[in-house]
Amino acid sequence: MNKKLFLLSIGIIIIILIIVLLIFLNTRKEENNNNLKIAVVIPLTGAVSEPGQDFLNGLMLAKEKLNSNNIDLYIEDSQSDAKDGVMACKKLLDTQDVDIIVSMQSAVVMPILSLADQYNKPLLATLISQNEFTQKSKNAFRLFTYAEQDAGLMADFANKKGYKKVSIVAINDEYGQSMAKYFKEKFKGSIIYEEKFEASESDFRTILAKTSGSDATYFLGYNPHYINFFKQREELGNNITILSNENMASNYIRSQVGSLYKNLYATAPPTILSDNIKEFKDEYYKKYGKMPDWTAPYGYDAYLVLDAIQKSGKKPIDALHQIKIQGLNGPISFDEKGESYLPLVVIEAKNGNVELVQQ
Amino acid sequence: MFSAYLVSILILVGMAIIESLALQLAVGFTGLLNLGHAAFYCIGAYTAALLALAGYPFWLCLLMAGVVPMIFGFLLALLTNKIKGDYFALATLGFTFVVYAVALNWTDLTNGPLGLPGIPKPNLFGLDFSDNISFLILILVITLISYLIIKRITISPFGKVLAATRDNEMATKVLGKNTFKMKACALAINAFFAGIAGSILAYYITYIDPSSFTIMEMIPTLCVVIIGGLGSLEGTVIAAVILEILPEPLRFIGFSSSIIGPARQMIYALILLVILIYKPRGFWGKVKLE
Repeated sequence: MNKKLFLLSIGIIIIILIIVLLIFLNTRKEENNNNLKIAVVIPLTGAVSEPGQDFLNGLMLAKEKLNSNNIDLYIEDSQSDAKDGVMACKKLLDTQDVDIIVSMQSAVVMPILSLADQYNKPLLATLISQNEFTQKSKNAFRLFTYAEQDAGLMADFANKKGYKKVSIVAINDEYGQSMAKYFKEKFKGSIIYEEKFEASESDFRTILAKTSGSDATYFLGYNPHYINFFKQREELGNNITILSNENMASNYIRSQVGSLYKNLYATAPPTILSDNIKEFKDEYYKKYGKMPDWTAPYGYDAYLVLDAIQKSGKKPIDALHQIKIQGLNGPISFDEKGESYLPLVVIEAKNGNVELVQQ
Repeated sequence: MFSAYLVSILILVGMAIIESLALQLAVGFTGLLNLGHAAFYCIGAYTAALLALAGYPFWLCLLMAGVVPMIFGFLLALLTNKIKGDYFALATLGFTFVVYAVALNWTDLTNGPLGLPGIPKPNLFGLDFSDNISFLILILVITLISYLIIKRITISPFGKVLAATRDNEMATKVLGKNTFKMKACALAINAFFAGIAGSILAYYITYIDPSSFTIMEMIPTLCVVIIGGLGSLEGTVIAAVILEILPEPLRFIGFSSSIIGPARQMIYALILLVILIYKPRGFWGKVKLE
């Protein structure tokens, strides 16, 4: 092997290590800084980047609006990947000595929870449906609805509506499968057809044909899936009723499908119908030039929680158990397990808009 | 005392080295463009995770994390014996997709998309490796042993026959060598060490789910093998170290939060492109990838 090249490579490695060390030493915590330091580890690239960016936009909008200078946000990209999320979080925990971790997406949150326990820092998570999350650690706090609550409400609604035969079509990931599982447990009728689909799926015509004998279809996915489902339902002349959750109440979906946005019931936070959210939407549109999607309010609420913690002057984990604030998604407080029990209602899509059906 | 962050980087470097050395044996030394490498990595990770969660000792989990993928490696060699080149690559790629689909859908075994959380940290004959420094030492030992074994294989007469098979399989057959046996062994050894790397990932992250084992996860490993140079273990090691460490300083560049993620990935890709333009065979390449 070429000795020069070998030495050159060793030299490059040493230089990179020195750079990392120098930067690390220069970014050590400032001793007199009493600001609340937050590690924000969210997907800004990768498969879940859209909700991640939307969440970040909501978080930054709240920061700007509250104009609080006592909260330092350190933002890292988890790249929708567990390994990268863990590395990003470790970097912040070690170089910035953060007080709280904020993260999203189950595949990243679960390994980060181990880090949170190792460093004894509270982890405030969203976009994680697994019931077990808050049961695993005293540092786990969920600012999101959980699968049993969300799917249970929709199953209850389906029972009251008198549906006897329902199909389940759910994306094959933690979110879709958790929701499907709890819907099946709570629904009293029969599940006559069940299908899982991958994130890359765009053609639901065959699935729609198979669900035609059902009273309704419980459909769970993300924006592109919902949009395609609506359009293909119309194309096939299939008038099946869709049951879903707040993902489907998204403004973006409504804007894309227009008059096709009908024959749908979904669970959603009650604030979707209130004026509070309208003001937030206007401010969001003014700042970013587009309407917020469904994770932006969670980002906004996450900042409200952080602001409340900072103002309380207490240890973050104690403050989290004691705060009671009003967020965009409803009243926020955390019980002894770390659950926030955000309220949900059932809404109906009518004429391109949404109306309340069941509390 | 070493920062936990720097220790974490070194742990990932160790994992990357083992994974890349394994793939180098198949691609660089045997001429098999094995795109099933991610599948072996996945099988190893799940084997170790399931055994660890069932309470089996660490040494057994680690060993089985290598042996189980090795069996699959051998079976894959058997099935792809008659196909070569691009067709072989496609067949192994198909295997990766199959394994991913099984990990995603066989929920009774793998828990599907919900993943396997709470994988316990290793404990070897009473020695606890739950803290970062001791885990790093364990990984460095495993990495060194892996390197020495693969190095020994490549300089042995067996390794020479592998290289001959890579360069001209027909001529090697004419000389009376059983090239199927050579390729099957190479693929099996590739699978063994890929499985070991997968098990280290499982123990380090303490949570695995199918999304960590798609074909996209193999791209960085393939980059290391190509940039380091085909047929060079030393090049592979150095390339693994460089490419694993490279993104880390980028985290400290003060980009606006809205473009942090995309900006970092663009810079990383640009650096890789520059390296490949000026050294298309990689730093220490001995053969061309054909």
